[in-house]
Amino acid sequence: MVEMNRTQLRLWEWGAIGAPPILLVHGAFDHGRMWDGFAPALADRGFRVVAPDLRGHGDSGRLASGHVWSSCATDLGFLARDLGGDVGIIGHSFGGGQAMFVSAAWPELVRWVVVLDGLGPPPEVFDEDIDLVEVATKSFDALDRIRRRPPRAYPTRDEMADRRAAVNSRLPRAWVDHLVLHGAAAVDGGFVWKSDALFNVGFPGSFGVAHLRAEFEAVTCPVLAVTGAVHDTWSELTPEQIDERLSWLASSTHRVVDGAGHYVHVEQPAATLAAIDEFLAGLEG
Amino acid sequence: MSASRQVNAVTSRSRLLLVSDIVVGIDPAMWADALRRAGWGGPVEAHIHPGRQGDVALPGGNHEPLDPAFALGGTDAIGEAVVVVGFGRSGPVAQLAGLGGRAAAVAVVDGLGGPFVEPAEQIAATLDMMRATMADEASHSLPAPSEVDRRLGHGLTPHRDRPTAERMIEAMPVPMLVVETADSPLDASTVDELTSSADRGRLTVTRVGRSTPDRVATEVADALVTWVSDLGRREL
Repeated sequence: MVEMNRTQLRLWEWGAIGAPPILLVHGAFDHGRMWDGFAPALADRGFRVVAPDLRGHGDSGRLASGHVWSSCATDLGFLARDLGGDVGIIGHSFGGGQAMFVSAAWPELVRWVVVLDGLGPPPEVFDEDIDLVEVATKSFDALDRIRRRPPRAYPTRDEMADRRAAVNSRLPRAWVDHLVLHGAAAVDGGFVWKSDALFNVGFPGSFGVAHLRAEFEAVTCPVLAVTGAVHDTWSELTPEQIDERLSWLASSTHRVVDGAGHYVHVEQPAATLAAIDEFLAGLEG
Repeated sequence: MSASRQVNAVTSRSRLLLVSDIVVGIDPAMWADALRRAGWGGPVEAHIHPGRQGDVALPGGNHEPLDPAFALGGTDAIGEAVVVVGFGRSGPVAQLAGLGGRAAAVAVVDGLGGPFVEPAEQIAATLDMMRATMADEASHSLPAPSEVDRRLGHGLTPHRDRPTAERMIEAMPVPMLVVETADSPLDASTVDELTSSADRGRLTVTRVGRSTPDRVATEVADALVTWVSDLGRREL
């Protein structure tokens, strides 16, 4: 655990201190142990690999708000600075967006970014015709549940895994079990998710596609985007939408991995690593 | 558009909840006194965002414009019988309480958001705030209880998106008072444009002049009490 940016972050590390650093950033509701299969392969390539549990996730510090986009990115900026800068960042899903935002804030600290299916939600999520009464009511209702009731306890980790597998049906069961093993805490009566329930609460705000585009356009470092070829939960962008978003970046490469959905690095690690190897070789060339 | 919500009864005994601007703060004693002098006999409470007035720890260590909404949600401080008054950057918090069924009526004091900017400027401002946080070594740890949090000076803004401000006003299902002072980030014509499509049966706009803080508080308190009292008479 490290104290950083007024919170505590749990870090998981592989490789030699002093080797070129790579930050691995997990997605929403996951944690740093998500990289247990991928990080050793990167360490074997001569990198120092550091994977935090983002704030509100895993064993890291708790949240006061569900609006943590800039707080999480600032945490990662502090980490990149403490690693000496010149870092590469590989982010999955939410973590991919975070990786790009960190590079936009501190281009002097970030050498390159790999985004694993993390180019943002589909445009309809930013629908301007949302019912503000409905959304605000749901947000306050969620805070009522969080503050007035104990968190839901599952009798067994298997039941948590069943729930997770129902959402991410393409994830191999062994990986679901692994994520639950490290993502659940024992309490009286069973187990609860470690991820902070506040992370899932958001009030309607002013973020839209134009803001997403502005975030992408602020990124100046080379970006490799890796997406799976298979439609999956949280992989809802069409090829045309992916192309459009990549066009907002100053320098991007796109690789589509066959036989993979949202968890492209878990489902097809060899192909994902090959895409990263090719990308990094291109940077050196 | 949003469905209308039944307007709950506002009476002379309704509770007023004052939600401080997260950066500037408010003086709750001064406001309670001004409201009493304006004739308010009901209870008055204040939510003070931590970091300005030093009496509350700051969970999470960082500030976000809608922090008060997260702090108040799930508590009895807000609810269908409460009149929520949002100051400055907390104007949108009061509006969310009204939209979300956690207020009988809402008032915003210089609290409609703004100054409005384009998305690229908004993102640039957020990136600047993050850089300012890292660059300010003295802000890396939590402030002492008696200190003002340096991070409040790093550029926190409320929503700066004009369409969002318009939609929030238009969708408001409960009575809303807009009080504009000389310190408002918006000019009068912008406020007029923003509020032009709102239901005038629910929305009231009041302006107070440039004066000393005490005098402004008196005028704002007068406007609040007059408005709430009028709501109470309408309900009766």
